Amino acid sequence: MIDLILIGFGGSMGAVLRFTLTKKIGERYQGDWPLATFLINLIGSFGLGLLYGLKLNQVIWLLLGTGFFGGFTTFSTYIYEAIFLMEKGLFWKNVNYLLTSIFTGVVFFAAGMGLANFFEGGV
Amino acid sequence: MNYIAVAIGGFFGAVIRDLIGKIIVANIFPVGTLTINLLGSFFLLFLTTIFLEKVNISDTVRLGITSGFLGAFTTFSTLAKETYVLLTQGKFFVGFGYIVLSLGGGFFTGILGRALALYLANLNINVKDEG
Repeated sequence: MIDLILIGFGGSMGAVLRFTLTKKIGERYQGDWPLATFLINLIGSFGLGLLYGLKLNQVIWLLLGTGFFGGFTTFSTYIYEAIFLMEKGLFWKNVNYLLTSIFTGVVFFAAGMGLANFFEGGV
Repeated sequence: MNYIAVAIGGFFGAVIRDLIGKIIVANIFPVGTLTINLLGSFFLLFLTTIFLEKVNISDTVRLGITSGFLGAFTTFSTLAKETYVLLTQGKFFVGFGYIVLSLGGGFFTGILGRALALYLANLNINVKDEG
């Protein structure tokens, strides 16, 4: 039960931060590229990698890993935006968005882990 | 008020993601996250389309469900993590397969959700008038 409250609390904070950032970025940038979600997913992947690499205790993992970064990053909005790029006739931008996000996401996760290892005097 | 709705939605989205992730477990493949992301993509496209075309609800409730619940239910960072783990275990085929299934599957279920919503919106059921 405590586990679920930790996850839920982290998830709610992640969702609110994502919602706020999406609004703020949307006010400043009006291009076709879904910049807000793109940045959020990369930052969140980096953060999750850092957390995963630091191997902290289970409470922090549930609160920040499963909860916060899980709720901050989003897959459904990513797909939503890709589908709307395609509907606007921007087929290649849609493919580019889908592929660039996932490949840089994995690289950012690895970079987060790398930073964690650096902190711990590992690699 | 919208922030509170997003927070409440985000709370339950993350909790239900964790519960489903624990129920659907497979050894060779992150089926739990895949199921969650495909379901979430279907419902996000279905609901945003139906809210736009047919059903009037307040912005607060809409944002709580879409940005809050479905946004936090689905996850991108875990997808990146699981792909990284598969690739670094040398499971290249499974890792790339996981990406293809996630992106292709999410795209497909999303379009399915949107198509179903558009179909329902064009039937002569006036949910909007009754609601």
